[in-house]
Amino acid sequence: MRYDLVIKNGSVIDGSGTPAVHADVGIADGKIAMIGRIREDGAETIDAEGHVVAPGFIDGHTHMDAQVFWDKLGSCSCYHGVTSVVMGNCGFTLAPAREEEAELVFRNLERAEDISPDSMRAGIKWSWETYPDYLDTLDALPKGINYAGYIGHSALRTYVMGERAFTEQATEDELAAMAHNVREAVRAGAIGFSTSRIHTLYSDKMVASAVADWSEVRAIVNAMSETGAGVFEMAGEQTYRDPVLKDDYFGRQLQLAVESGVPYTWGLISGPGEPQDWRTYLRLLDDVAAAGGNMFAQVHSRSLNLLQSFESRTPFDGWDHWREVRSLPIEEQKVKLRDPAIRAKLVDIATNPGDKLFPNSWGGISPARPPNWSRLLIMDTVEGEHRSFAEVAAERGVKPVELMIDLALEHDLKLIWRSATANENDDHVLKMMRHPHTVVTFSDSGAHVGMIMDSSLQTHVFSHWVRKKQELTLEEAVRMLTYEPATRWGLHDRGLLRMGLAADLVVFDPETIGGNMPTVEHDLPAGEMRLKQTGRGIAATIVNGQVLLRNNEHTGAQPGRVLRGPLAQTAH
Amino acid sequence: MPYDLVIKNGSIIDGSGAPAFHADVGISGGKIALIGRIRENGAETIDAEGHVVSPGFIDGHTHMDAQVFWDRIGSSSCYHGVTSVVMGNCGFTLAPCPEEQQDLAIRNLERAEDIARESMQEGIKWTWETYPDYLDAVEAVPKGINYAGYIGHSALRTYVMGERAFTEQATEDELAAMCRIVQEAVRAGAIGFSTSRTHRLFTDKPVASAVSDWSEVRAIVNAMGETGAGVFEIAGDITVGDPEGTRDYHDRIRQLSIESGVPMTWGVAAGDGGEPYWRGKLALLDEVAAAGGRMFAQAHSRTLDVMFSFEARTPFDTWDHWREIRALPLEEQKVKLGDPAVRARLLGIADNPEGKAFRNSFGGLDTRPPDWDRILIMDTLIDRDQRSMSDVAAERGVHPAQLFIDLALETDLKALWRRPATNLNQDHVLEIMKHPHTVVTLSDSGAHVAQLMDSSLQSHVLSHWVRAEQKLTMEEAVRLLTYDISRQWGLYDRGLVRVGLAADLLVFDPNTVGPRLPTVERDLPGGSMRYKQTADGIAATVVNGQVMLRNNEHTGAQSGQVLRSPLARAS
Repeated sequence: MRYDLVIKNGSVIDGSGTPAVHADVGIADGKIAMIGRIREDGAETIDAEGHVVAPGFIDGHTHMDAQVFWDKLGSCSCYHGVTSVVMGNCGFTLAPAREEEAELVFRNLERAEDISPDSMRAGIKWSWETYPDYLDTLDALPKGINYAGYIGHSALRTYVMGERAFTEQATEDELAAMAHNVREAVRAGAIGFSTSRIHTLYSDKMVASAVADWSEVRAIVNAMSETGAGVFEMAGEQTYRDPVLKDDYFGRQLQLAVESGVPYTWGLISGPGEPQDWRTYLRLLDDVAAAGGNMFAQVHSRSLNLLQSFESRTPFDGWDHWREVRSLPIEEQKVKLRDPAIRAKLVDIATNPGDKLFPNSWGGISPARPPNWSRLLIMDTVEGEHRSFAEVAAERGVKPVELMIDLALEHDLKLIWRSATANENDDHVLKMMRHPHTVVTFSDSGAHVGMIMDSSLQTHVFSHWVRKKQELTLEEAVRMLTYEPATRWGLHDRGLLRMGLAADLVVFDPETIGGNMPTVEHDLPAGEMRLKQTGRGIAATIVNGQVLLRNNEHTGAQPGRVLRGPLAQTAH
Repeated sequence: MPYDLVIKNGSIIDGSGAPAFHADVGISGGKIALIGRIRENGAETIDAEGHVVSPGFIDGHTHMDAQVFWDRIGSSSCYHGVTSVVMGNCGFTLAPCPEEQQDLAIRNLERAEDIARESMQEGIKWTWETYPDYLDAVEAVPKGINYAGYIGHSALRTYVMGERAFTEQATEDELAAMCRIVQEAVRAGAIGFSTSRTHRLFTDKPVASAVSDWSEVRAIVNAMGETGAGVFEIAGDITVGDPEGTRDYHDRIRQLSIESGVPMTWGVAAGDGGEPYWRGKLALLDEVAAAGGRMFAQAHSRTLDVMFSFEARTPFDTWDHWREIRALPLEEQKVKLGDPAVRARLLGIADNPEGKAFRNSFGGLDTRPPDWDRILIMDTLIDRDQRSMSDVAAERGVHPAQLFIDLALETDLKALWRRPATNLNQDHVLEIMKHPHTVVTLSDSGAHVAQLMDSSLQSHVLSHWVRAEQKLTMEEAVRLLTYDISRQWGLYDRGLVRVGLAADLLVFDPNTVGPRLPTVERDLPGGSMRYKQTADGIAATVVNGQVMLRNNEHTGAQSGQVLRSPLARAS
């Protein structure tokens, strides 16, 4: 038979965890048509000698809902082997919403997920109202990778309740309308329903979903369950280390998971203040499984970090003296930073802010405290080890803030430093990754693009856990990023390298695969800034049978699709 | 949507090794349509509360080529959760072969695989010549389970070379013909090509495939490799205790596997528990994988046993005195066995064959009494509770041969014995099962039905390794019997519980699933005898979306299919 694409001589790791086999892979009509020894060439042929051929990775936690309108690739996830993502997490979606309410939706996304409203205004042509309309709009867009999406509670609540969504409980009619909308969305192909019990707006008011009583969440999830499909994602409640609150919260979750039978998921990290708290959440997963429910946690493959640089944000951007310098174009900032008088003022206030209050990067106002310099780590390489400003400053006999300015200038202001917000203990990270009811996913891609860069969590699994730490085999690592998320989210035609399934594939060099250093780019619509991180060692990223990226460069292909839930697939 | 079948409230073990989860499964059009919470009933609904729902098991090594024509359910494999089998192993197939040469094919199967000639003559309506014709014939018969089949070297060689196949090397033309026929068979849907380098006919002559030089096997496998599909199964050279021969054989199969790119497979067993020569075989699998070849071994889940029963065969059936008694109808045998004079003669020769040699049922010669230490009384299925003939004889103060007759008479001749022939050390068995390049399969179902009963190897994995020994989790066990096998043989629409795949499913109780004691039945065509073994704890066996067995009883469904190679399905 004639193949559109043949990948020859690779080491096929099929995503199930079974050992690699040497084989050629033949692709026709976007699907895997043959795994064996293929003598002939395809219309296109890739020599994968020395490379692994694996299913494309799946990221179950992104916020690409807005970005999908202007980013034809699916960056930065696509650079790290990701060929399918789930978006619409934590209740924040662009649908359902009427065009005249767009600003309300943008506000939700701006504040909770730090997506630039200017980018959204410039990049999105609003042409939907309901969630099914939104999916149809996505269908029509040129896409690099595949997108599945939740219908989000905050959008839904605002759609049904208007401004009351931010302050009041739903009436019976409103609740029925929300339940109805969710069922309709899931039948049309939404992958599920998402909510947040915790995110706050810049104004320090709760987002719409977090205003809802638990009974509302419960009613909607049970209504979704009536359809037979749909995953429930939740940014959970804060329990403030209060055992009573936690018992109540865990009890409600277990009850809902069991009574609804719906696959139920949330993110899990090892927080800095509660380094062991994650263990109680893993126990909840086991308890729910034992009780007949289906709950799984989304875990990251490394520490979560805030990234900063003079090209993006520094800890002092709102502080006196810094404010004036930082508002200048970057070339002028270099001049000012080199000026001894200005520099002295910057160093002085950074070291001794007194009792002043300054705006912080999360949109609040807080007492100006110098950062903990021992926790600000200099990212001179991707993999580390990274040393702190405090340590290097002491070595050089300078103040940390002086070192920050000096090093930044030495790097043409491109220097990036990081501070870990969670998951600092690598052993804990590994334990969470290995738990049977967790999935390695959680890039948050599309959100907080000026502050975090976690889209590389997939390549990190290989460069760190497989190659450096040797804690996972290649086969185990691939399974974590493919079959497991595919199964959890019901993406049944993906996540395995098997004949008949969709040809989403990555061809990578196991010796070199990893992330490159992040950079700061101003390439969002309206010229907004974002952190960007590419990957290395990935020779080809194939989506639905077409090569989307070759050595991480876009080929021009736009083979991505909307991945609809199983009810929509059987209806088609 | 309306489902044909809904399986509710089960614990889904999807075959991948992933942890069980609770869900309902909706089936329509023979495929899995939804895994989730299904409120409505299907045309048929099964309540799987307290049960595991898993993919149907797949057995990669059977000889059901003949049986498929008279056995509408696929026994005894089907009783143990098997919903798909690969047949045609070791070179023995019914095609290619024109009707006028069927006697030759039947002779091969009779002798090498101990399938009753009268059953084949009575039970098979020969309507084919080529392998594709044969697949079409199998397509047309009503089937309980799914069948994939190899084209067999012995049949092929006999088809191309006639009687010369048993004595001579192939000419260039004959070799070219064999290569072409194998390519055609694989393109038409054969799952691969099988051969034997070892099996012998009753006459002690090698079977046709074993006459060929290695160069012939190599040429055929490489020819199959050109198609891009096909698995190569080989009953290999026996080289135990011959390091030189082992090295040579391993070199040859390693080379062939790498140069052809064809997945190559053969059976491995742990022997008598002594020298672990099998570790060299496992190391070979690793070497081949590292060198870019694909080779996997087929492992059993327990001892392989030769079974004895007066209703079937005893170790003495060809021995003097016994011969005459055993030729009688069973009722008359009982009378004779109770006669002190007859009994004395039987015990005399059983204890001391006086330098005589008697041909055993495997074609070899016996000159000594059996090793009673190794013959176990099968009055229970708990392996460790089965006692040896020597032990019980000593306890009763009788000679083991006398105990043999006593036990038979005490049980109306239904007593069963087994003599473990290989895989004696269960730690070794587990080590082999867990090796990354082995699959757990090898029932031999359809062959040696009067002497072996290994069709229960799958339910044994669940009752023994999961429940009794706790050496495997249920998820690991299911994976060994489903995904791992479907992947090796390219049965890519089976072996997982996943939306869009074929609805071959089992609903079983993890607390009770397991084999029952075998029985002897005379229900083959022509009235021939066979061992039959059913299982407990399997509430439903679903094949292509239809419930084929309910609690191990046939529902009448005939939903089995022929599973053709990917090339046939693509075209």
